[in-house]
Amino acid sequence: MSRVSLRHVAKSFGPVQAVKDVTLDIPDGAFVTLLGPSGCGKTTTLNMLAGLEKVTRGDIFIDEQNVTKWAPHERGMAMVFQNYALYPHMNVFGNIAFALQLAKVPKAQIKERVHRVAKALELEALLERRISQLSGGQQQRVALARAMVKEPKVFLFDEPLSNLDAALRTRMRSEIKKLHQQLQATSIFVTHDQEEAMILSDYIAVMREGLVVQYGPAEDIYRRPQHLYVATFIGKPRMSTLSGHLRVTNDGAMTFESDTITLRWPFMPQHGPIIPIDTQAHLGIRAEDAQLLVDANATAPHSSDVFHGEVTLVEPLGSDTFIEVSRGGNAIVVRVAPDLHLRPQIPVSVRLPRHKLHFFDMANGNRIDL
Amino acid sequence: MSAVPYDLSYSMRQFLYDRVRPIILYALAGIFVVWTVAPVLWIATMSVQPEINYVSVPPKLSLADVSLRWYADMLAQADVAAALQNSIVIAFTTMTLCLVFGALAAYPLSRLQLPRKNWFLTISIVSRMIPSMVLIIPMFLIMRQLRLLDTHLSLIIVYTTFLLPYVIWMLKNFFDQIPYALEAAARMDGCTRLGALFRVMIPVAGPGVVATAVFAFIGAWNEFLFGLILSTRLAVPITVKLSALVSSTFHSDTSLVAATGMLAIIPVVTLVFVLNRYIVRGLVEGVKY
Repeated sequence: MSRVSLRHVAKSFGPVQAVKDVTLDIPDGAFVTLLGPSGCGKTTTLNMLAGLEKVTRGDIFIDEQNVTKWAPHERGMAMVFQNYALYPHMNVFGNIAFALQLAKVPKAQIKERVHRVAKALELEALLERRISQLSGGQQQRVALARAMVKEPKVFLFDEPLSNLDAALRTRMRSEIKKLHQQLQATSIFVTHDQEEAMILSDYIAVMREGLVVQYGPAEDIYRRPQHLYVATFIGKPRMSTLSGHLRVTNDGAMTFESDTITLRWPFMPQHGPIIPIDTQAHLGIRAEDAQLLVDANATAPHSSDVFHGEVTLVEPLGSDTFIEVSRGGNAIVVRVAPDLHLRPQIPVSVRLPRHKLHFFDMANGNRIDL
Repeated sequence: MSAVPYDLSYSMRQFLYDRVRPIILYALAGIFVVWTVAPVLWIATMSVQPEINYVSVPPKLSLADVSLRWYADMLAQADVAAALQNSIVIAFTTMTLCLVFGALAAYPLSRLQLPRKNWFLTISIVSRMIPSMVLIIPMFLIMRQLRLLDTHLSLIIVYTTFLLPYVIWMLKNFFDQIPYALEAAARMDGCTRLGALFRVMIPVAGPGVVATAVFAFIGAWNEFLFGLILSTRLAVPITVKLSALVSSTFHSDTSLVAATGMLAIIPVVTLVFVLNRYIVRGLVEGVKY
């Protein structure tokens, strides 16, 4: 149970800057995910936290203690690796006990602790097995046991789920989540899978090109993305975006125009002081926020917040159906009820509610708060 | 086989594939084995038969004449026994040194970001392209200067020097196949880098390390040229002794020479047979992780 802080941490490999400047505060007991595509520096950041990589610049603190120069095992952290990295020349017991043996813990105590952890993870019957005799799920549990037995202050996870098949991944994901709920230990998880990040995390740090683009509660990352990159990276299906010209006038009228569409929202004073805006922007809307209009004439008289187009794709998932509505190169994905039997080429209208919209400056991708 | 006529050509091809192909393959493999093993079998035969049996045309080999007395005779000669012992000491020490230095060099070459790493690897292996003949005089002069002529140590140094580049390359290759995470896990668990090398990397690369060790042992065991130049009396290895016996006029009995040859072969062959499982795994499969 510990707070972890990174202060302006950077890492260069020769001329390559893998991590440019990362500052994160990870609260006690939180489950934090570093999320980003491969090459964004998330694994390097984790390795620096673990002490496996030297820090080029910056400092790392655990509970206010500067551990930047400490060896990996001195930091009280345990790591679960991609592919688990179990020791193939040892049996399950040996794998779990290895760290304790190195720490010169008395034999009887090692045995007791290994058995306790093995019991918690239902590995007791497997302790004498060789690693190669275990299934993927069992290997993952051994990897978790190997981390847990150290009773670490912080758990680190380096994409532990990415090489599993879909069914096992879902099961293991739940297992990790339950484990965190039980132990309440600070956990830092690295993944490129936004769904995994959303499901597991209290906080998410979205990374790109060695920088943290946005760090905050998972809910905020989803609901109020601060950058177009975050908006389109998080969420499934991907947030739909339209590019055009955004204007907000002093009296609060708001228009968004592109070659093929003109959208207009009415005066809305409740959104606080109005800052006039006149800029090129991206409009973003999530599939569940866009509303398919059954009756296209039922729109409010003063607004024309409706996107008219035709269905170009229907993706039924069973519980929901996602349809893509397109017009002149612009497309919006809309979640609709599964019993709505839509077919491609049907003309439809989609309402884009004012308060569900996200706008991002086309020049730099930053969120425009209205 | 199918009785349907139009199926016949297909069945024929299937028949060739299932029945004839293996016969051809095994025949070719058999030729290869005979080609490789026959000389050794011939030497083995010669070493247990009186010379008259196999020099006559056609050879008259007889089970009744089989005897190990030529082995006994040769082992009874102090210089042959000593040469065997020299070779064992030299090859074993060379192997050990190659593994220790090789592992310590291969590990950073495999794992660390080092400037000019590839230069080092290339230069180390290119140096082995030079014919050893070229190095005889400098080596001889160096060893004389160090007063190491005719000692085990001189040959151990020379063999280790010559074998080390290969050993480093082989071990680096095996280490490269071990995922970085495995070593990272060891370091998280409390190993130093060196500890991770000896507790995790080397055991995991086990078969590869054994294959490399055997390679180094054989390399040192079979070396002849430097053995000839650097040893005179005390440190003579078995290869040099054997050559001396073959060319010596005093030993006209070919069976004695054959028996000595077998004595030179047996330790290596035994080693390979004992470790066969690991060698094949190490060389064919690499590191199975």
